[in-house]
Amino acid sequence: MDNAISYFLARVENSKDKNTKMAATAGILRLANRNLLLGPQLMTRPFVASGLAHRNRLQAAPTTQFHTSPRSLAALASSHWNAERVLVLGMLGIFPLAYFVHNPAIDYGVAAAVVLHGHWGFEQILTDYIHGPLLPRLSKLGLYTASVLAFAGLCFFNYNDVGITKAISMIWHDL
Amino acid sequence: MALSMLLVRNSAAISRLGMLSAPLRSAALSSRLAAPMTTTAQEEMAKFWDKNAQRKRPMSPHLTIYKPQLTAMLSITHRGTGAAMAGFVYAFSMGMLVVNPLLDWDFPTIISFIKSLEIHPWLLLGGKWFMAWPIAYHAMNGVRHLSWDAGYGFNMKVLYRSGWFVFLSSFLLADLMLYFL
Repeated sequence: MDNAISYFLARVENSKDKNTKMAATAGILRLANRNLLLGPQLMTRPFVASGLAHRNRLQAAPTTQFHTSPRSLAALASSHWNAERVLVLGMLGIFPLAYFVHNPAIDYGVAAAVVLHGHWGFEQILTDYIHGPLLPRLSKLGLYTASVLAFAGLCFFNYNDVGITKAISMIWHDL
Repeated sequence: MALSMLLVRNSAAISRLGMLSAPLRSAALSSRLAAPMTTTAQEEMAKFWDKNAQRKRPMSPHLTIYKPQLTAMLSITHRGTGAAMAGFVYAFSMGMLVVNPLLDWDFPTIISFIKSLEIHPWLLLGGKWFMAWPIAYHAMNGVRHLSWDAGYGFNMKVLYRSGWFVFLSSFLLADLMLYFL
């Protein structure tokens, strides 16, 4: 067994032309296939000894290499997720409060919370359904514009008009 | 026999070889292996879509073949109610930004206009219910989402029970909102 491997190893290392190298490699691989039937442990030694672990650029690696995002990006995504949950918990508190207390602080708080929550929600919808090189960027740009305008509009409504809490009260009780 | 002796003597080196499948630690090792391009999840996702779009492959059927289940139906309803409410708020807000300077309409004006239409009280009630139900459902399903985020409620029985509870209670909550608020 060992002799066969040494023989082929010598052929691989000492061969000058590509064909000989390939034939010798094939020989090792045939041995490897035989060993595969006998047990996985027998695979590694010939493979390591063959020097095939150090391959040239044209040969694929046996495993898929990957790298993770840089820590800053990953941390941003993680804290975005946390921020979404914090906002939702805040809204669970502020919405019932808005029914009882009508004042500008609650008005602006509700405006900010609703627009931010809506913006993040729309963003997830865009990410899920819109793919490609250009369309996602255009749609995200449109969404940003819409969110900014929506928040501006709500602030305008709170300042120049009756305000959100009063408006909802009017719809619910005065109509 | 000799082979197995070789294995035992070189077991440390062999196990180190197995470690190569882990994320690469040094540039030297990386260049020795001459690995193909390493990619992030984002890049992999983009590559998937680019490759399939470029080869003009049709998409596998999904909505037409998948059995509608409570989990998926509640999930899309959560998204739908959220999008509808946010869409309404965005439209109302941007609308007020336009009509107030242009037509001099403020909110009491709009309310008076709707009153002048003399809509039947039952229709008004129906309209209010259609405003109340989405927020009731979205809020209750939202709490269900938060419980998942905390790690609870993934057991299939619990999942389906909480799902039915949220769905049916949303109708009750909407009615309560109409009656008491």
